[in-house]
Amino acid sequence: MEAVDEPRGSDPVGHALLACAAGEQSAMATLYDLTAAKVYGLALRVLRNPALAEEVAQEIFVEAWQRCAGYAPDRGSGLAWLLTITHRRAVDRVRSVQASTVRDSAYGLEDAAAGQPDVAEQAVASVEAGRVRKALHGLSHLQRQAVELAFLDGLTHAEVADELRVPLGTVKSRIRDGVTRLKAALGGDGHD
Amino acid sequence: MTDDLHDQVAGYAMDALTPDERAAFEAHLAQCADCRDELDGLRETLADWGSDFAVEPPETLRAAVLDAVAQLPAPSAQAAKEPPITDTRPATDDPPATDTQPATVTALPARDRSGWERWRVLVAAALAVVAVIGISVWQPWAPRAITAADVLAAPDAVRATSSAPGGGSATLVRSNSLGRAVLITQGMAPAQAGTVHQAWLMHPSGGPTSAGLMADAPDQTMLLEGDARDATGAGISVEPPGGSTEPTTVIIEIGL
Repeated sequence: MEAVDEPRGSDPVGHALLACAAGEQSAMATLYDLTAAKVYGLALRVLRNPALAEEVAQEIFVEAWQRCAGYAPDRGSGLAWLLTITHRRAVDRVRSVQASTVRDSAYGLEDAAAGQPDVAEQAVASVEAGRVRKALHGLSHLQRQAVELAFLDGLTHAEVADELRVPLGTVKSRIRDGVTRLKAALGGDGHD
Repeated sequence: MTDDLHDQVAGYAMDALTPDERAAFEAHLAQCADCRDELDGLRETLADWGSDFAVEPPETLRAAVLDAVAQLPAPSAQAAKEPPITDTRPATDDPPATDTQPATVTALPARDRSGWERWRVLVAAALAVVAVIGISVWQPWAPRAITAADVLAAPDAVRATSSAPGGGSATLVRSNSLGRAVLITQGMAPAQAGTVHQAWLMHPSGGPTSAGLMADAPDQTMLLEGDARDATGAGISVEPPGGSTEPTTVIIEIGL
């Protein structure tokens, strides 16, 4: 693996992460301004609840500050690093909220989401113009359903299989094939 | 590499694995450069997709984030001198140990110390295997870093368990050879709204050091942040969002 001193090409998010790792608190404001809409928007899409998404977004930025020393530009872009954390946190939260809903019916994610359909819809609507959205149309129906249920709704392989009523092995390969086609359609293998 | 593992890379990248699948795959990832490379590429693709959902957050979030961060210690004192990105040492991309950082060392309140001492019980390493419920602490680009599974499997791992007054239990597993510890909670009550659970490591000298914020889940397996070598115990406290630099309200203590 090559060692590099600077983020590949122009990567302002990566630069901000490196500055954070150097202990510069001001870099956190830069990082926030560059990425807040993406972090919050992805959390909102997965959680479908503005209050939860705001709370999780705050946790994500705190985690980014605490973990920025682990960001390695030779492995990928700063945005990919941050959105990886974002997605993981959002999915973990959606699962824990669902689990506690099942357990004690105290706080219903669906109830909360039902109160705020407009914001979730707004996020979905903004996707229509996205190039990834176009790339998604190149997937088979089943591939697309499977990757959307996994990535956007935070379902596990097994939950996707239940939802689509197809065998687990089929779901795993559809998700793999789907995301591989997505990657190819976007023209890239990332930073390689 | 088998097809099944290839399938797991995509599932891992999309967070579609169950916690134990995730832990198992992370153990594999530590050994497999092909999977790490594929994962890096998939993450760029998924970041493209994830970016499509951008929505401006409430304006209050900015100040909340910056205030929370302002109260935290610098990510790593050593990082200021030594960029982490060129580190080519094998098997560790971890942030440097925190026990050398004055900013993170805080005095242990006297009321807590007696509690910690009470739990000084050494438990043999060969207790029942505790299922890996979830990995909440991880490094996106440090796949060769030590994982919770590594600590649990370490030959020199020692462990101890305490019950939480509010129900549930927490188990601390520490490996001196790896210098890391893992906290496993089962059936713990979730943090109340507006609070977080924060993990702490206890050391032979000096006060507790933050071992990271915990995920909001009753059952989890968390690789604790910081150097756990010779750690004498761990604890969980209730803190305001973003955590604190010293424990506020300790809800469970585990002594080794």
